[in-house]
Amino acid sequence: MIEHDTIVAPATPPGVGGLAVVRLSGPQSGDILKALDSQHRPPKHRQATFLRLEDSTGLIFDDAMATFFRSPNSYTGEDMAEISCHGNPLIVQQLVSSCCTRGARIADPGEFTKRAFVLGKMDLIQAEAVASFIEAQSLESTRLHHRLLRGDLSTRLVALKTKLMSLLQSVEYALDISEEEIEPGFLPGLLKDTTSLDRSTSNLLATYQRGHLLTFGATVVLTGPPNSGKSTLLNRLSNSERAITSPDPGTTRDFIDVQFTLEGIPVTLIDTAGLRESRDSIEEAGITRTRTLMKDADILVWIQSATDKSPEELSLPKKPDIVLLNKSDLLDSSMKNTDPNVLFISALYGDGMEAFKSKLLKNLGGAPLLSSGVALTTARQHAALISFQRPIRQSLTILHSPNPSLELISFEFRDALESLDVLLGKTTPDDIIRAIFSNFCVGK
Amino acid sequence: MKHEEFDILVVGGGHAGVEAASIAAYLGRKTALITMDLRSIARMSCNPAIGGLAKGQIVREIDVLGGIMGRFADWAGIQFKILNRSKGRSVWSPRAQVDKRLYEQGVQRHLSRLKNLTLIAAEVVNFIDARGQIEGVILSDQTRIASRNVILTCGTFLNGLIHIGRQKIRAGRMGESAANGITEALHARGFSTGRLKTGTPPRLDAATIDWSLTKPVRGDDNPVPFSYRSHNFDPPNVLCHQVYTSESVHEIIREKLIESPLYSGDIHGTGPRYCPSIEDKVYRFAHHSKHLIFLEPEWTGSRQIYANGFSTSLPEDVQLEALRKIPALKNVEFLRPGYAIEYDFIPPRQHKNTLESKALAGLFFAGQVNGTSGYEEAAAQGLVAGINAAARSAGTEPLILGRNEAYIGVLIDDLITKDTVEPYRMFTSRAEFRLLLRFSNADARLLSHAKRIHLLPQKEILFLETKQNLTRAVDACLNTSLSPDEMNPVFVRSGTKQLTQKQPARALLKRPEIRISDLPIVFPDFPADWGSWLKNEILSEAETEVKYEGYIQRQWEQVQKSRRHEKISLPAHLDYSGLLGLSNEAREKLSAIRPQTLGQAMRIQGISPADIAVLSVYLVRK
Ligand SMILES: Nc1nc2c(ncn2[C@@H]2O[C@H](COP(=O)(O)OP(=O)(O)OP(=O)(O)O)[C@@H](O)[C@H]2O)c(=O)[nH]1
Ligand SMILES: [Mg+2]
Repeated sequence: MIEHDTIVAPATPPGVGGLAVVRLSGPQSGDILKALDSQHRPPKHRQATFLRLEDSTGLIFDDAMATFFRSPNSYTGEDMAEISCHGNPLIVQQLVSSCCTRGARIADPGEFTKRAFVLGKMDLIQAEAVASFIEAQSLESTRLHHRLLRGDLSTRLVALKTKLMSLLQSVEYALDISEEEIEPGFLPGLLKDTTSLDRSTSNLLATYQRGHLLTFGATVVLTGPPNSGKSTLLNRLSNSERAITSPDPGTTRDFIDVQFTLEGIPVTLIDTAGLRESRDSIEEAGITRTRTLMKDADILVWIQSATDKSPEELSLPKKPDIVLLNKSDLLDSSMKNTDPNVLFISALYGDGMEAFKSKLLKNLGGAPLLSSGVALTTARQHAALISFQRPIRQSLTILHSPNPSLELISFEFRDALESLDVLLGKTTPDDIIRAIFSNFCVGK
Repeated sequence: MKHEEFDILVVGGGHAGVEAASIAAYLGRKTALITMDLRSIARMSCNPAIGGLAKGQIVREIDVLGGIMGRFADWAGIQFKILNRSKGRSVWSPRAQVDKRLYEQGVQRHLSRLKNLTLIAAEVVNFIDARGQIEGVILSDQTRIASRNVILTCGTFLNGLIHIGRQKIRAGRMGESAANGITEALHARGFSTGRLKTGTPPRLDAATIDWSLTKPVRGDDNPVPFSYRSHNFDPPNVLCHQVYTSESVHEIIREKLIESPLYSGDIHGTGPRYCPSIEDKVYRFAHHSKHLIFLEPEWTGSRQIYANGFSTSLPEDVQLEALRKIPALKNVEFLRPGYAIEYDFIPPRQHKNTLESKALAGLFFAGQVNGTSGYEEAAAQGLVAGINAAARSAGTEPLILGRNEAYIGVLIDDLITKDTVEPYRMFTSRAEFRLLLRFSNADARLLSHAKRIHLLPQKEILFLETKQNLTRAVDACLNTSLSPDEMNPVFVRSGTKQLTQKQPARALLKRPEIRISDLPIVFPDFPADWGSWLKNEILSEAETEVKYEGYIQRQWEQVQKSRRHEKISLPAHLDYSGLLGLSNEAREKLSAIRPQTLGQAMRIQGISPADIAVLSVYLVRK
């Protein structure tokens, strides 16, 4: 899993920019730095120095600043260097290959962070947060991931672990050391503590929905008959004129997506071709795409015109989560809102937008996070915490039975501890770790 | 005196030594046991009891593997009890109060009758070796005895130093001289040694105890023996007695703490955390207002009473003053004060899992010399060392027990893998596959080894096979379907859900409140001459297998998972210092311990998953 050669990669995105940063990590980082500039003195920890970059023939190709970090006080825990050169892709290319001719190798995606994890600079949860932090789509999301990166979630999990360990110890003491009968207060006390552990776990599990949404966002697909006002609604929500609207049915042919945030949740809103028996092959292709999008949507919104009494019966790939009756401005007030599951809106004039947004949030689920709150964000974390809770629940069942067997409770507790270690990456199988880091970009 | 050559030499006649000598001789190897005083062979130098939590399981395992501890404990036992009855099947542990004199007499007689065994009264002071192979030993009178397999079991005798208050006596045990020279001989051959300490309580004069103020404790009415070979088991059930310490006792101890070598820094060895001295208990568990003391007779009708729970190295007058604060002991007199002993041990990570040392081929170590405490732990190692020395001498396969097979497997793997910073004592929680390691299934777990190595006489093997066949037959009976008419009276009594239709007995037995004896089933007949305990054990085992079915299955899955790592062996001469990516701690520990498998490496303290990953990569690349 670990290779102890030295790796190199650009840390800034490809393309033209003012500056670009190239990163080195591994035992040869210092030597490579020296070799890049024959005049250069041995690098010092956390000191920026000026470098005149030379290629292998001694030709100078750029002036740069380099900062050196001595192991273990670096991001990866190895010797590291960060070189800032001019942001021309050709120069970056030149710099990377100069490092390679001097013994470095181009890093795999996520390899820097993987090394940091392997060398114990961060646990797996923090490592997962690195990728999400960089890609976060809203301020709320960056704040959450910064807390995770800082280790706030890990701290919560370690607290669960500490608590469970002390329960396990008391069980083992009763089994292994004390030759007397179990004290009368012992089992009720154990039940109380285990129940509270279960509750803390549930509370943490409840953060997953919102944590996942903040990290990965949500997709909302608008669908409905032609001319019902889908594009008008998209423009209204994204505060733009992104979609063309017209009184002619079949205006939108291909789908259109826009981004907006809802309590920090990055929402991708997709407007689609209105559904009807198609008139031509282009429209038909659009409708086929619409059906695929509908299937993958987190939330499917059906819009029809409130004035349309009996819209065409259409088979949808799944039941819509929200039904909107648009153009409420055309109705007289007496007709409005009979069914609580149906919202009346006017996309053109903006009526009912707040109600729609809060309905969206409600359907997305999860309570908003406190400003200092942490949340589970990935399916892996969620699954591991569920496998932590399962044996805890099982031990509660045992504790409620007539003659609770301490050895079985101990067995369940140990099982639970193992899941927590998997969660924190203490005993995570190699293949899972590889999968996690393969989602990273190169240079991270 | 000139000695002929032996296949196997056992140095030391404690519980490790006698097991080693007995099994090696039984296996047909020409064996000698060398010890300073033949009369103290198999002496129970500490508490007059065998078995107890986790240790009782070990004694059963020793028995199935051809050891003698269980047989003679049954023979010399005066009170038998299963501990932890209220706490779950796998932690039930047999324990016996044992008549020390009978025990050592019994073992000595057994050894003296063994065909291939010679007993030699002498002191070993050095070794003979050539090219990394042991060739024999040198006695204090310079006599040489040749053997290519030597098992060292010298207990607490290596540079033993007894402490009573500020007083120091060089001795191996009270009244027996220490062994000097062996530590130095080992150092000269590259072994490292450490120092440990252990304590023993005072022996009280029974005539000076007011027994009316103690609480009597009886053994089980249906006693269960340790050994499957104790076919006519009918032991006495002698009363034991309990008293408690009190604050006024603790006060005296606290006041004189400074006089204890423990606190004045005289003792350099590390003491056990688990059966701590009374000064330790008073100091560390200050919030406990009382501690339990068992007053145990050392033999039947003995005047000498062992104050179990009061081991100490305080000066004699302080011990006496403190104990006399207990009402029953107001006028107590000592026959011998409590003391602490400090001794050299050989950190066992220098050994292989056969207990043969890595540095000197043919030299085995077993017992307290490996840093363990307890008769049972010592005996288990002696037995394994004896079997493996015999195997080495005969050129056959050694006995290596897995952690899922036996507490003995856990014991030896822990010894060679973990750092010993205090005397190692077995606990059930040390066994990660605890649910599989019941004392009552030791035969099922280990019989195949006993058969392969011929550790038991044929008739005992047949006996155990009969027992296992009966267990299977009982299990088959549980497939019987039981009707509401048959079962509901039972459910009415226990106040639980009644049946509406027939159900297999197996399913009904899963209900927590139902015992196998509640089932109206006719089980197969047991041989008429079998003790009722045997029948009960078979029924209880069958019941456990059903009630714990799900857990036992999960435990087996864990075993399966761990086996993958046990199968990957690490090269004996791997250069860990040259393996890039290992943490410094890992590099140091792996070089010192030299684990034999990846699984063993994973259990070393301070080895992280990342270090294991480096090793795995190395093994794949290699
Ligand atoms: N009065 C009224 N007119 C609306 C409202 N929403 C949309 N319209 C009008 O309805 C017509 C169709 O609107 P679009 O947004 O293009 O409808 P669409 O659903 O995207 O139609 P296709 O793309 O053809 O499927 C336009 O003329 C809009 O101005 C509304 O709330 N009230
Ligand atoms: Mg449109």
